[in-house]
This record gives sequence, C-alpha cells and structure tokens, in this order.
Amino acid sequence: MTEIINSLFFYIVFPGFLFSFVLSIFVGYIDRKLTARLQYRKGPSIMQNLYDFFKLLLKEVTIPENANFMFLIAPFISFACIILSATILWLVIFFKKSFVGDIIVLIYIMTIPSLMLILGASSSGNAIASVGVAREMKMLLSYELPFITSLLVPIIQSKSIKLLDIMQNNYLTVFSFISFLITLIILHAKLNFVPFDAQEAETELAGGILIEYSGLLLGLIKLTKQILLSIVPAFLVLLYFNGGRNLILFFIEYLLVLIIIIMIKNTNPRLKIDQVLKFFWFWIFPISLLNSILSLIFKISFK
Amino acid sequence: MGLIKKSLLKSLWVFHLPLSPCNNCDIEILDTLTPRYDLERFGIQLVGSIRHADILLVTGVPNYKNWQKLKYLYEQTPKPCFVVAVGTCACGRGVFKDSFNTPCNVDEIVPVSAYIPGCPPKPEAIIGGIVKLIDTLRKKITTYL
Repeated sequence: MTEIINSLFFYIVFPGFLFSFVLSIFVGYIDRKLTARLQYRKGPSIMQNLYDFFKLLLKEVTIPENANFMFLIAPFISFACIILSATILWLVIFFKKSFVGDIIVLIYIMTIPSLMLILGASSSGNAIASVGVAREMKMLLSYELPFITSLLVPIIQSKSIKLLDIMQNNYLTVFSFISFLITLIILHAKLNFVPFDAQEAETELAGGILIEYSGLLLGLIKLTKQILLSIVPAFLVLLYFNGGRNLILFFIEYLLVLIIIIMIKNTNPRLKIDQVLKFFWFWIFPISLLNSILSLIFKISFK
Repeated sequence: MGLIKKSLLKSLWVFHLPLSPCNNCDIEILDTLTPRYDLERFGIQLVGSIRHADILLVTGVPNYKNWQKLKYLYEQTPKPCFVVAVGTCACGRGVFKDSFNTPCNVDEIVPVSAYIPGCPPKPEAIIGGIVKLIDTLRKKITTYL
C-alpha cells in the first residue's frame, strides 16, 4: 500500500506533475526571454507562460462537427505520458531510483505525445491539420531510427540499459560527443523547434497540426511541449555528461544545454519536410550508425 | 480571482482578419508586432488559427463577398473574444460609404469592442487602442467570469 502511495506522490507532487509544471514555466520563461533578447527586444515577464495557460483554461473548447473522441482524449494521454517520462527521469537524478531497461521505456514514452497529436489532429477533419499530420508522420519516421542508434553509444560505454548506471559510469569520448550532437539535433526535432517545425509552421500552415485545438486542449498541448523542453536538457546531461553525480554541476550543465537548444532555435531557418527527411536519413543516420559501431569496436578492443 | 482576471488581460492572442483591405493597415499591424514596439511584453501574440484567438483585428470594408465570412469566423472563435476595428474603413467604411458593393459596417455584423481610426493608424495608435480595450475589459470583466 505504501508503495502505491509513494508512487502516486512521485507522479503527482515532487518529480512529477507539480515540479514539472513549475520547472516548465521557468524554462519557458528562459526560452521566451532569451529569444526576445536575441531579437533586440525586452520580452515577456516571468509569469507569462502561467498567464497563457490559465487564459487557455478559461476559454471555450470548440469541437469540430465531424471529430471523434480521439480529438478530446489525445492531449490528455500525451500529457500523462510526458509527466510519466519526467517522473522517471527526475527520479533517477534526485533519488537515484532506477529499474533495468528504463531508457527503453523512456524512448517509447517520449514518442507517444507525437503519436497522440497525429491521432487527435487527423480526427479533427481539417484539411490543413491533415497536411500537418502528414508532415509530423514523416518527421517521426525520419528521426526515430537515428535516435535509437545514437543512444547506443552511452549504452555501450557504460555497459548497461539502466539510466542510473549510465549516469554513474558515462565518460566523454569522441564517440559520445558525436552521439551527443546527434541526439541534440534529434531531440530538437522532437521538440518541433524551428529548423524542424514544418508541421505547425505558423506562417504557411496557420498552426498546422494544432489548428482545430482551442481552450484547455490547446493549453495541455502547449504545456506538454514545455515539459518536454524542460526534460530534454536533463536527458542529455544524464546520458553524456558527469553532471548527474552532483546536483549543482547538473544544473549548470542543464542551463548550458538549454541555452544551446534555444540558440539553435533562433539562428536557423525552417527546413522543408523533404529536406528534413534527407538530412536525417542520408546524413544523421549513417553517421550515428557508424559512430556506434566504431565505439563498440573501440570498447571491445581497448577494455 | 486576481490571477484569473489578470491572465486574460495579460495574454491576448490576436488573429489578423483582413476584409479585402488596401493593405495599408495590414502593414501597420505587422509593424506593430516587430521588435521595435515589442508587443510580447504585454503577452500579445499573432496567431495563425482562429481557434487560438482572443482578439480579431478587422481591417477593410465588408463587401458582398465576405461579410458573411466575417460573421462565420466570429462564431467560430472560442469565447470570450473581442473584435477591434483598425482603420477608417473598418470603423465606418470611410470613402467607400456609398459604394455599390459595401452593404454595411463591421459593427452591424459583429459587436466591436474598440475602434482605431486612421488611414492608416500609426503603430502607436494601434497599441493605444489595445491598451484602451484592456482598460475597458478590466472594468467589465465580471460579466465574462
């Protein structure tokens, strides 16, 4: 019984919902403020993301005439999954709690928000949303395979599929640095940030995949994106740097990776979807596959 | 109550709705959203979809082809939403008042919350109009909550 209560506490209060919510508001503030400073303007206040979320909670929820129940359920499932992945990740960092194979669970759970968005948007029946869905599917197909092959490098180097062991045994080599760069680009695509945001392109598709969502559902999707932004730097630091062993070092590296992600977002133009596909399949995937094979050979020959 | 009231006033998302204008007002609206005036300080963003919008910025004169579309778009917007008429044409048809294809004003089709006259209004005038709209909403916000 206490196990269940403990798990519920972890999921709802500390590393789960409440903590992720507060952290995501803060991270979203850093994102918008840094973007504003890079464009020579002042930017919003620290409460801005909270205001946006509460305003969206107040607004009316409009449901398209021919939408089915997936349209309503999809944002809730994606939100629950992103909270679950945040809980797994922060439990490793704060409480050193881990189980065998949780990196595989994390890969699966971090894919579900995109899948749910595809299902929800395609059930809305909007033509522009269906164009966005097609692009999101192509994006998902292009980045999932290199994501897994590039995550092989930290697994090979620390000889474990447990996040805690990876955190405590990882070390920086040439292979793991290349793998870090590849994973950074892939997680950038997962976040739908600017070089890879063809599916919700505000200027050409008018919101694309999000076009029919309003009110609470839109707020949940935006919050899901922000929580993903708040866990991506933690994931990278945990896999590739030694920050996980010391909390102060961890947060310094966390902020550095976050700033790198925001800088990439603000200094790049949007790629077309065929360019994204070519980039991931003909450049990123062979490099990451070669990288992990070389690191395996290196690991076996120089123990 | 304070946070809820403030959150609506601090995060107004704008949908730009041109009713066949001459593009002067549209260029001024785009100018308003540039870094020089920086409306994101007040939480104002330009959104692409009508479902995300709180404010409809209407420019131009409604004519026989699009006055029903204006009504349709207003009905599609999630409430509470507010209409702002930008430019002399949207406020009172301007020189097109007695034209053959302009049946009515914007405020005869949808309720307009703020008028910003000018041909075209300066970006400062548009920001001033939005600030006056926020002040008005602060007084009568209780009717929406």
